[in-house]
Amino acid sequence: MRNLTRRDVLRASAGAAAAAPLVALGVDAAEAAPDLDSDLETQAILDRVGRGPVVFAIHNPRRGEMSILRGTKEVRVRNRRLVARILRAAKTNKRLSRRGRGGAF
Amino acid sequence: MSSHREAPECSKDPVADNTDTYCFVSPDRPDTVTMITNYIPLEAPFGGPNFFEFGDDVLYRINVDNTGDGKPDIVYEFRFNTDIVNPDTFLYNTGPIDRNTSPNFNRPQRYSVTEIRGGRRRVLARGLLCPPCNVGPRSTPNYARLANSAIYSVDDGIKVFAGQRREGFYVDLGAVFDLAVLRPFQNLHLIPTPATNGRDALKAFNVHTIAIQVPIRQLTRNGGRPTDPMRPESVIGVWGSAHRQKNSFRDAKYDWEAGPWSQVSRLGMPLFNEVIVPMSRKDRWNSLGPDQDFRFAKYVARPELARLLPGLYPGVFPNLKAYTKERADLLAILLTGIPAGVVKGFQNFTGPTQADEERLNVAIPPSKNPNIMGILGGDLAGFPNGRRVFDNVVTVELQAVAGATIPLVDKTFTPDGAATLVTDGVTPPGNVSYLDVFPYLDHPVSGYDVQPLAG
Repeated sequence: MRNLTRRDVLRASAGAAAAAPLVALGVDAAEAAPDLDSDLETQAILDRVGRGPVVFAIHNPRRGEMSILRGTKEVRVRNRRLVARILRAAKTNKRLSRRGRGGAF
Repeated sequence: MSSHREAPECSKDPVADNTDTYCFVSPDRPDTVTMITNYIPLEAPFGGPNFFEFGDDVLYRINVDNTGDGKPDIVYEFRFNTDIVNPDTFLYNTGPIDRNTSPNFNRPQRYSVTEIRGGRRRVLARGLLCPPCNVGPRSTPNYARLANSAIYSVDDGIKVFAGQRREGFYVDLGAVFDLAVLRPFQNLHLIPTPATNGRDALKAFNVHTIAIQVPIRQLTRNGGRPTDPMRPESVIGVWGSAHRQKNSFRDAKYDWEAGPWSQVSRLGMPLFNEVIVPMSRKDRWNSLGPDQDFRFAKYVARPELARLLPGLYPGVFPNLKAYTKERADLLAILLTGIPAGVVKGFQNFTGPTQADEERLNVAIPPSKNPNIMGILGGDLAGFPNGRRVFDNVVTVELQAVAGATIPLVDKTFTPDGAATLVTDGVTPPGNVSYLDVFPYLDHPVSGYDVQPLAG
């Protein structure tokens, strides 16, 4: 199974909700931008997103219901495929998991 | 307390804990209304080195409903931003603070004020300074000057202030939370001890105040300044609210918030969430707007405290104990306003929508001889016609819950003799002081001068 990249998330989200602001789990848009220079479409979306973090909150994995939070906005999305990919990434993406600081007691 | 630490969640979030809301026709500018919301309960004046301040990540609102639907028609938003002037010291101040822009003041806090009216946002001011906390005579040697220089006149005759103030609310907390003891009557309590005077538990504490004074014409539904108290447009409803963004993320690199603002605290009438709403529902209440308060009307109609009083004071409240009807008096006072015909020359009825708001009849001029018992004391300019900083809301609400106001709506009821006497025994003046001018709440107690928990 291939790990989910930031670009995957962006493309998937763009397909699910064209107007939805998006980026990746806990990664701010400015940091994500260098990975996307060759993708004009995605860059255009990023330009609209602007700086600042974007957060996915999955409410109901089975129904594919999630919120995308950016700035003071919230977009509700229903996309089972996208939710499944994010959940797979949350389980397997080592880079993301290394960022975590919690868990030790 | 009025609404200090009144709910499980906001008791753990003091900067977003709305402790008191006041609104009244300004006594020195009777063409204006002053609206005040306080935050950060029980500020010990010596609470350094990181003294108290508003939350940069909290959105503070003062809401005005002038159409009676329980939804805000006008909102005043306050956002704060705090700096560190000297990154190499642990000190709040590195010398005397003689002005709010002093380089010795290491934690200056600035704020913006935005008005939302008809869905349109208008920034009234940016970069306004809060005064520092009142540290002591060496650090803040002329506190009144610091505070007064933080009173700003902005557009359209509006004044604002945000900063530390002396707690204006007074109550015998230690007693009321000890099984509803009222010290002057504790000889009659189920667990009796000799009667004594009440003790103001809050007299040595400060709060953080957001105050705004707005011309009446900017608050009424028709843009006028009403003179007839019996007209519907004479009444406005006011409440405070605090909001946090839905998501926060913190680690060594990131510290940010994302998402829409979620309400985490609100307050209209004093003691509503504190005494009326069950603990299991308090956080939910704090998350909703007043237009949803019909969900809580059953707790007003049959208040728990009215059931407790006859049990805790055996034989003192027999008529209250026998009263089984819904409390139409409390439903009116707390949720719809008092309709015309109940109190001569007065009404603050906003219609059938049940909503916890402080309802102010702006056509009632300020009283030249205020009575801290407000309308119960014959002073139509006082609580529950809005709420002035000095009104004795604890005793008024105690007496109302004890049945003193039932005859206003039910002539068949005779209040118990104690109903018009019950009090926690704490009254100003004495320990509590106020200002005659905006922002009306007094300068804060200094950390150096306070006598901690003096009896």
